[in-house]
Amino acid sequence: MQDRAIAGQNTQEVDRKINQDLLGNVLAAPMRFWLLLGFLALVVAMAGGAVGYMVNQGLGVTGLHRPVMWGFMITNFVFWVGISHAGVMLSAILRLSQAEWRRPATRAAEVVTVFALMTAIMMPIIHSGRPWRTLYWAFPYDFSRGIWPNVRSPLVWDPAAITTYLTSSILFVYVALIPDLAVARDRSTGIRKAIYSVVAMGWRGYPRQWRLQIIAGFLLSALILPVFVSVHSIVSWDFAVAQSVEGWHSTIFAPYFVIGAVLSGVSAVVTVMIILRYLFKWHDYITSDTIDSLGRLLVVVALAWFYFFALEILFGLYTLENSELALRKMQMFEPPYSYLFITFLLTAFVIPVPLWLFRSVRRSFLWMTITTILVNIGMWLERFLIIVPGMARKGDLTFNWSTYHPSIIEILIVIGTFALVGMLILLFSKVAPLIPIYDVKEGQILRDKITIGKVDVPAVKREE
Amino acid sequence: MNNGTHGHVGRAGAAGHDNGHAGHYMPQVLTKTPPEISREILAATRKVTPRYKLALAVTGGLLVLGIIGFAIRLSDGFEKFTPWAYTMATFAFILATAGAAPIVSVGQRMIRSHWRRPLGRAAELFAVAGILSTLLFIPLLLILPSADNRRSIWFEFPGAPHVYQILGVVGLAVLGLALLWVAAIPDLAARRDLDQPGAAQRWASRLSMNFRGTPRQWSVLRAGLRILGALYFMFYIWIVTIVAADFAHALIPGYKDAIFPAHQALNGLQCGLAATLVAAFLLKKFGGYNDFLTVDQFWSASKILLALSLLWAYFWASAFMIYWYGRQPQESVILRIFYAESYRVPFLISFFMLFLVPFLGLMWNNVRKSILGPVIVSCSILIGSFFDKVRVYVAAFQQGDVRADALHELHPPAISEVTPPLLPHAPDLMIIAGAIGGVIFLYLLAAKFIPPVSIWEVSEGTLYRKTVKFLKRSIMVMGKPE
Amino acid sequence: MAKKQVLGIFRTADNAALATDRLKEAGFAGSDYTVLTGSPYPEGAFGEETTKHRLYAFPFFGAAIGFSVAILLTTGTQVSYPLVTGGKPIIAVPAMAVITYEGTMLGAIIMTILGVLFESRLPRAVMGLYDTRITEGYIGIALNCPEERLQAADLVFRQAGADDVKHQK
Repeated sequence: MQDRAIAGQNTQEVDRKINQDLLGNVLAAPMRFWLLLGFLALVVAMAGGAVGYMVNQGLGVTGLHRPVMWGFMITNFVFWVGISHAGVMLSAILRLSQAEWRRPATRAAEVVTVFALMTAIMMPIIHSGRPWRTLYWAFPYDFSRGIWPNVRSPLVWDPAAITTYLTSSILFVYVALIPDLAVARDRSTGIRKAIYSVVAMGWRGYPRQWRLQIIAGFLLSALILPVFVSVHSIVSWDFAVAQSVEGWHSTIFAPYFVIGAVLSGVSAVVTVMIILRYLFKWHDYITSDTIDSLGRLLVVVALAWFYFFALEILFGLYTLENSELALRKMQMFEPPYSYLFITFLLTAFVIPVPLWLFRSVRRSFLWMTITTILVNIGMWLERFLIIVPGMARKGDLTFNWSTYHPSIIEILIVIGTFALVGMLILLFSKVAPLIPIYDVKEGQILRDKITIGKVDVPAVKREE
Repeated sequence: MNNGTHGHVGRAGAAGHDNGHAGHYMPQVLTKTPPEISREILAATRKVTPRYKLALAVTGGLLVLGIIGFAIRLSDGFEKFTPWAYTMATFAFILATAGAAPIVSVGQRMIRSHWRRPLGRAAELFAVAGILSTLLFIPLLLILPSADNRRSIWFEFPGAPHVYQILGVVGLAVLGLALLWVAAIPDLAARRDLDQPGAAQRWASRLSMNFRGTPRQWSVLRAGLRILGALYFMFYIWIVTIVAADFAHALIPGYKDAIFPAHQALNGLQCGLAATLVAAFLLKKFGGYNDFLTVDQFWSASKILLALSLLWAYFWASAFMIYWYGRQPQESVILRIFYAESYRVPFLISFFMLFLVPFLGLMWNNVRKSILGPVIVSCSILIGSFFDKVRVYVAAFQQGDVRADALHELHPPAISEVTPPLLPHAPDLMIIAGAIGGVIFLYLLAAKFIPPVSIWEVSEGTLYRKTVKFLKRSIMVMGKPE
Repeated sequence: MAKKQVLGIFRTADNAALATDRLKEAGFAGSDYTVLTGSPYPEGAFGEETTKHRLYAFPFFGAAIGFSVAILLTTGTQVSYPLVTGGKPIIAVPAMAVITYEGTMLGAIIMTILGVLFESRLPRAVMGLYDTRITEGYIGIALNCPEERLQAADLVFRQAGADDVKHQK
């Protein structure tokens, strides 16, 4: 499968068109871009206000109540860490497997990773109620008092993993961006040109630089993949190492969280790419072929996720312990959790996966938008259903049990995070191309065809 | 090291272009014509060398030895688990290697990779071992109590676990044979047409069912392979899951490890690929298929092998961390049995051979891009996996006897005693040797009837790969059909 | 002997490849010139030698640093503040392994990035002779040429079909 050829008489025309299409927003953004950005900024400001109010008033303004002390914000943390797994999953694995259709998708995926991760980090910090204090819980800097973080706590593993992943992802995005920053440098003037010249670091594009760029893509992919797997595993251990909450102490949590993260992350990338396609008119770059391939990938990921989901449930029930059975009963059959559980199952798996089996659905932008949004609704609920029902029954004694209702403050913060990620992606698209220009151009150089009888089979030139 | 560049396998642009000295890697493109491919593969398939006869005699002898050991074990009856512990480990090992091998072919065919073409049949041929594993499974099934009034994943489901277990094992064997047969129909047709009249030609003729190669037949064949492949894969995951759950997990009171079946399934994929690479190496070295199995197959497969080995360690760490952190009494006992005390030696061997050797070996491109490197790692994986099965299944079967009470209670007290390791006896060693020898014996027999390198897939591959001149170098152009 | 840069700008890759042949015929060595492109071409497409680099050493070096720092940090902080939690040993290897793993990977990745920049000879304060048309699909050949051969180089480029030839001022 291959991208459509970009129309043009010669290399210059093709390259000029690619530059124009993909740098268009960087050099002159359309009005709808500013309108959307303004709207998102407004929502973010509202959420910011909610955070400020909460810090000022204390955690009492949330719906958190003993024993449910982890609610919407921690759910949202897990959700955004999950979304951040899209970037590396697509970019690294597809680079390593030399999948041609990856070309237009990699950068958007990596950028989603970076911004989703930044947003995720904010959640536990805000949730702590006293954000400034989290610094010395997590980082070993308090030399004066001789009190150090407890490295035996997964709540310290988390910052270590997320900091590593975020730093790596940002550097990964930047290195792959250098040749495109050089394109922006060559197409801009004045102060912009000066800035792009500095960040492009004097890139000229000679064979050594290109070779290193390609090797770096492979090498960094191979290095970031193990980090990506570790991050959500460690997030899962925030829950799984605890014995006091029913349903959490399970050995399958790490891979189950990772595969769930990949499912929600890849779905989010599809949604984002389709939105960008409409916003920036990238019809020649994000094609039916691209989302068809992503759809196939999603089928495989979703089936793997379902296997782990089934094992998690099965081995939870296996012990036949009354407390475990009661928790599962509450999760699945008692309102309001039962409604959420049904919605989760329908949206995360039952509706989208059978639909993705149809080629016409996989190639339809509308259907893929709907189904991938559905998946993420489901996956958000999945995290909620893991965290809250277990906590609600945390106490040994029934009179210590409680339920959880999110307050408007928490709801605003959660909505704000979606707007924040959207806003940051849009802002990024204003300073750098969201589709790797040089990668698309390379795809055009390498594309070929093989004629067999009366059929032209799309082909690609391969060095290895 | 011979990487198969002679004969008609040419490095793209090896001749006539001026950049050969620059050291750029150029992939190998098979330049033989389809008639040449048919002729050479069939000639190699028909040829019976003294070395082949010797291998057949040795493995046949081992099989007989195994049957004797099996007969001795039968005299122990089916009341106790312990006598059958090593038989169980052997069965699990065969399920993991021969049972999983066809997935190598199925998976790569699904993603339409070209490098798999000469390798796929070597993997599918392992399906013949399904007959052996089914026979080996029968006594094991007889020991297993019903799911009534005990903890199991079946929750007292009628007929469980026996009906579903036997359906699974037999189903997998039948599906594997079906997959092998359907994938081989065009090659059997080639034998029908190109062989001298004789028993093999007659059987090939029957089994090829008048296949003529019309577009419709090819289209149906491909669709059939897709369906059978997907079914085989799902069936495999299913059967490994339930075998691991019933024959290991459920026998240890207080053991709750949800990742355990998935870990076993993953180990199967690792072993399946390893077994395929070892078989491919032997076919290349001694079978006469040198021109078809090149470094490309080993190199590409080694990347997957590395990924699977890393995943193996990851799954292990996921389980270990929870138990180490949890420190509940039964968790500590299980850690002591599986890792620290009773089965420490098999654990260390399996960890070393299933993870450290593949990781430290295959992280180097020079090792991956060779034939011997991936093969040595594959051997390590196979040995490590056997010890892993011993660790898991022997320990569990031992508990089946030590804590027989747990098999008849819904809420038995959890495991609290660390038992000493159970060592194999002579009949066990005979069964192990016999079963492994038997698998090789059956494979060798099948490889003389069904070409172990797929003629039609290799021929098809030549259509989609060619060498072209691009500016000042030669480059391979690779087509991907829809 | 003073050298100056000459940059030939070509519309097609074929002409650029031809120019590299002509340069060799005219007595210029492979190390005297380099091809500038706006997107990667397969290695050796313009007859250039395989790129020699030591990038693969960087991650190992970084991993060793990251590993050491992480071990020091996890051991040091725990020994400095020896508070038993959850019944685990003060030097709890599996727990330390998590942070050590992350530290190792972080070290490896940061050093790889530095390695990529170093091996790509970036950042460069002075870019050298360049033309913005290169990022528009034109192919440039930048030649380091002795001053007395500047005219000859110009001629070689133009005969090979250069659209434009620029000289260092």
